[in-house]
Amino acid sequence: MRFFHRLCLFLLTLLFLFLTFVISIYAFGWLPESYLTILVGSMYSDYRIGLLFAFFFLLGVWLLQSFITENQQEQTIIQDNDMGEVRIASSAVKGLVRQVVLDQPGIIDVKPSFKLRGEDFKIHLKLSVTEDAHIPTLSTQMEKLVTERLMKMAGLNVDEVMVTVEEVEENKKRSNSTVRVR
Amino acid sequence: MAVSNERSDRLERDERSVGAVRIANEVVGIIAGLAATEIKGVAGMSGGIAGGIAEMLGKKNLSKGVKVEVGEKEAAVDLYVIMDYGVSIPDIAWRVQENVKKAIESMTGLDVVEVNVHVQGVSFHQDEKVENESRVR
Repeated sequence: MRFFHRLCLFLLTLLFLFLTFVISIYAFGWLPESYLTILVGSMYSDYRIGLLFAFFFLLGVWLLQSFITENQQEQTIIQDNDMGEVRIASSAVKGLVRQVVLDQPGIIDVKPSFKLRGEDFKIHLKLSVTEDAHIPTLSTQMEKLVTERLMKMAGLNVDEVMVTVEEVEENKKRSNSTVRVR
Repeated sequence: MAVSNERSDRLERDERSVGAVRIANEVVGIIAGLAATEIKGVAGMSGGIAGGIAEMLGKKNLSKGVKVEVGEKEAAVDLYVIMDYGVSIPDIAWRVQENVKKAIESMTGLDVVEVNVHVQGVSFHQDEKVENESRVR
């Protein structure tokens, strides 16, 4: 989910919380009966409130539409044969890259992102590694591994893999959690 | 070539004698969905939000993740699939295309002009199953 989607969702959730709160306390009788009538009455013929709620309505429609059509977007063609096309969603490529990278020792987390311009395919990996990891070796390994695996598993030709180590964490949690059964 | 001529002859004869046979999109969709999931390496079909809600409500959708366009003699299929982790996606997609084309053509007599495969996700469940089995013995 993109930042703008999250922001819209946040705004709509705030509005929804406010409306449900007012309606529920009114329904329980904790608000005087005239309050809601006054509130609703004050909105009548007020174009500013009309515009504001029309904006929220359109925002909701747009958000819903973008969630529904999300699956159809951002796809890469990996094969084009006489029987048709084979396309792969960017979320599927992200999942593949994540799994390939996390399978390697010394890596705690990864946030992959892509840039696709024409046939130029670039991957950027933001890694969280353990304190005992040798970062230059790990970076070189990742570049080679991701390029090889994506070619083998998805038939995708990667032009560039950029690696950024964002965090170095202690691997205390890991060592504690692995000793479960003896 | 000879086979397709024979097929069109048969259709024409049917139209002249007892009427036309039309196959619903839903039927072609079910055949395509079943043929696609038969292939090893395909974890399942991806039905989107609407499909997910229908499934939650208890409606079993055999044509989930399949979009078809059916004409009088030809059909085009779009498949939205989830693949297993570790398989070669282009190889599996090629097998899916072949199997779906073969299944639709043999069962309905329609010519399949296009089978597009859209890989919507990769499933890691196989690995989880193996891990769970080998945890304690």
